[in-house]
Amino acid sequence: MSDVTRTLLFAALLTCWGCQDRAADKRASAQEIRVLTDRTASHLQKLFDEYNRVHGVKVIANFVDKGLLARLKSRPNEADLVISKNAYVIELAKRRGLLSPFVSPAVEANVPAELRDQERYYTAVSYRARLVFYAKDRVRPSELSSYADLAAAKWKGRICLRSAVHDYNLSLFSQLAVADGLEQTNTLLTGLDANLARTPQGNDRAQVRAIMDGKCDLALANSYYMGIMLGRPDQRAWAEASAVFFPNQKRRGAVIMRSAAALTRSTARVKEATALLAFLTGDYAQQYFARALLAYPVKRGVEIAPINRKLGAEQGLLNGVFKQDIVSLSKAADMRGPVLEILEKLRFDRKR
Amino acid sequence: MPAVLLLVALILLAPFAALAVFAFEPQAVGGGGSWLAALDGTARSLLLGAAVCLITAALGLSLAYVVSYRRFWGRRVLQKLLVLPLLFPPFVLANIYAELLSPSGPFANSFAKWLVLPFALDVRSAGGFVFCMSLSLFPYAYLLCKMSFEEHGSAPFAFGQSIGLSRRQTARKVLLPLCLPALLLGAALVAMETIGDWATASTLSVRTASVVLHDLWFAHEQPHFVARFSLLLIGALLVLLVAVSRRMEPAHLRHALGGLLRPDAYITRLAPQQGSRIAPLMCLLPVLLGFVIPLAATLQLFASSLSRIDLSGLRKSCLHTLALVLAVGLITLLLAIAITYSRNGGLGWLARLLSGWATISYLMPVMVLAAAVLVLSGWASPLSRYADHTAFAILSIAVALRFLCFVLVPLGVGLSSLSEQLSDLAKSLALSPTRAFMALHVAHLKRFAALGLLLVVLQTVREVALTVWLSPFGFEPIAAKVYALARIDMLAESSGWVLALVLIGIGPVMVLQGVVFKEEGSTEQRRLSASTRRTVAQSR
Repeated sequence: MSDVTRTLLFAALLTCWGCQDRAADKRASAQEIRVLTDRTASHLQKLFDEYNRVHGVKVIANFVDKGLLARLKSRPNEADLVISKNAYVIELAKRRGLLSPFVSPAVEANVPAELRDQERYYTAVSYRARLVFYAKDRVRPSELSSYADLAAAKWKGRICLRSAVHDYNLSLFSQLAVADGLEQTNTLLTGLDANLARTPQGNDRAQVRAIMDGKCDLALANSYYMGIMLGRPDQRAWAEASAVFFPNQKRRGAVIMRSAAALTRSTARVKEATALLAFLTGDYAQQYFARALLAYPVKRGVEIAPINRKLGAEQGLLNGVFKQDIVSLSKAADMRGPVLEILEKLRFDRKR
Repeated sequence: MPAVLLLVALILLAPFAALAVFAFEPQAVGGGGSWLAALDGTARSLLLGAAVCLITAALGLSLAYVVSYRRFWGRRVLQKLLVLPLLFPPFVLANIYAELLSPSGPFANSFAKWLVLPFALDVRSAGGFVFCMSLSLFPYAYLLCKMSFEEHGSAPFAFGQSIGLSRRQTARKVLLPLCLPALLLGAALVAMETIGDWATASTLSVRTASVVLHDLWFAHEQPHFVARFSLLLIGALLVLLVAVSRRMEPAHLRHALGGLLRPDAYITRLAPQQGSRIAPLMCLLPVLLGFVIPLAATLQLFASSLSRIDLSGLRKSCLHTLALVLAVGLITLLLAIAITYSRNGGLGWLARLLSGWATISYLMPVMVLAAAVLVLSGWASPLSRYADHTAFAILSIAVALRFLCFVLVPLGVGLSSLSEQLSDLAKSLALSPTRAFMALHVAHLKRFAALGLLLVVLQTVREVALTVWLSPFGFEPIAAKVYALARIDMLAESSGWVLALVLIGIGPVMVLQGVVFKEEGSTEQRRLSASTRRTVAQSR
């Protein structure tokens, strides 16, 4: 048998094997909802499977990396629902006219008003705080206070950060610009730029790992990463080398990053999509967000994960309860452009 | 045929026409910072492309020379193993080496304590990028040089000996000029792949043109700036291509792929000489770094994290990979045939323009191509609601546009080598055009098309950027899945998928070996079989 024949046979076998799955898919359900999201499959797929199991509606998701907004603008009619890890992106989609409002008493009952859009275009489904991770053996919590303090000269060459234009950081800086004003944010970014230990790179976990490796003493990362890393044998050591600090506890509170969901402008399945929205803010999904993903639930009464109760104990927080700064996303979106201009001027992501 | 060619022109040029229209929409674009970042990224891409090109050319040429002309222990096995690094996409190598060489990784914990290195082994750097790209791509230069040596056989050394040149002098003054077209083609291929890359650069946080344009579009929301900069870039590439094509004759390309024309050439290995002992080591090292170590690391991760690895979607992902490979292979083949067979017709100028355009599509940063396709698909989106099939077709065409030159170049070379006598023969035998095409052209061109298609298959299996940005709903080929898991530090979870990616690539790599490496019988047998063929031909 020639190599060509062998390869064709191999390809045919693989195709047959794959087709079995496709046939099973077709049998599964006639009803479906299509979700476009920049959250990861490992976070949401189990939730969608559960929704399918309980309600008989299949959720087909497209998990994009970055560029959720560009995709939605480019193909506005391919999804019913859009879910972003960053509500700020959803606010921008609303401004571009890519969303449609929804009416759901269930969502209104589940989600506090400050975590929903006042015009009913989107709702938060969970949130996390953007925190300072610090090296346990080199930094004392008493040395830390606020985000603005990260610009202080004492941190020169001691801070690690992922790309400043990543949505997490852009959202943080834009919210700080709303809270503290653009001038103060400019001072913070200039100071941060001077204090970086290395070129902005990697993801949030890579910054915490860099603390363990001794490359820096402080990093900015989302709260749930502490629990996630502690739960993984290959990453536990990274987390154990650090502790988290909730900034601004004596002032406005720590900045939170909301994950949000919305109906797309062109959805023809308004009822089904709204039902999925209600499911995402309901007990099952909220417990899943809290326990499995270690995020903070938006529904009152749903308990946070035990690991999150321990966060901030070093700075005197009890049961992980912290002061949150809930900034208007609409105002934060207004600050996006000016913040980007500052970052561009500083060439923040340049090689160091 | 003109209608077909016009359709092909529409497919190839429509996304860029859309990009051009989009670029000139009256919109404010980014300021000096955006220009600076984009130019900086482009310069970096060019520099890194040049570095990878030089390294892979040197590595490919020397390895091909050693396995072709030296006798040493394990040569037959090693010459085939040298193709295996193609199985690991550069972004996978980047993830693996970033983990292995991190300050808290296995290398630092075991070897680095005893080694005093004059530099830090930081893979997340331009150096790391060059290392990963070179390691994964050198087989292209190696294969093309090897094919060239196969074509020339031992003749250059016999000639060198007859005019009193030493082996070294012959290699430098006779053999190197002979294989230069092949070497340049291999090096150009590698440089283009490096300049176009996004996944590896993004994994290693190296701000190449693709990464910068990606950020400008997706994070800074400056699509119009990206479109305008892309047009400038395309213009510059066009000038470059025209300049190169003036110096590059069709005969050069024919020379580069000559090994496919003369499959009966044979090589007499040179007797071992001083220094031949390092030859096995020299061949083994790239195999170790590009295949054995990454495979061992992946297997170790897989074995140590079995409970956490979820392969439930593997079937579907295999199907998606195969569907994409089949669609892209078919589209590239059809486009390449249409362009190649139109070169001597009334619209020959258009066919030649499209050939050049195919090269530019591969050379440009992948983000430019994606931007063009995103704009065009945005315009087409009102045509259908969910458009999964449309989205799949768009993705397949985008990937085919990127890799079209892989089939176009060998097919063009094959067709140009078909002598006019074959057409005369077809006429004298009163063969219909279809039968003549099937009996003569297909028989002659199949090796060329096979080589091109195999490269397209290998590239498509590894493709990530376009798949991540343009995929239809619920569509996730294996490479995209590996990328998605690795970018959130789930390396252990991605290990099973990496192994699947390697397994899927083995088939095409084996066939590629079959196309490039001829069976080596004894010299005596080869002489006998050659003389038999001559006798048969004379008797006819």
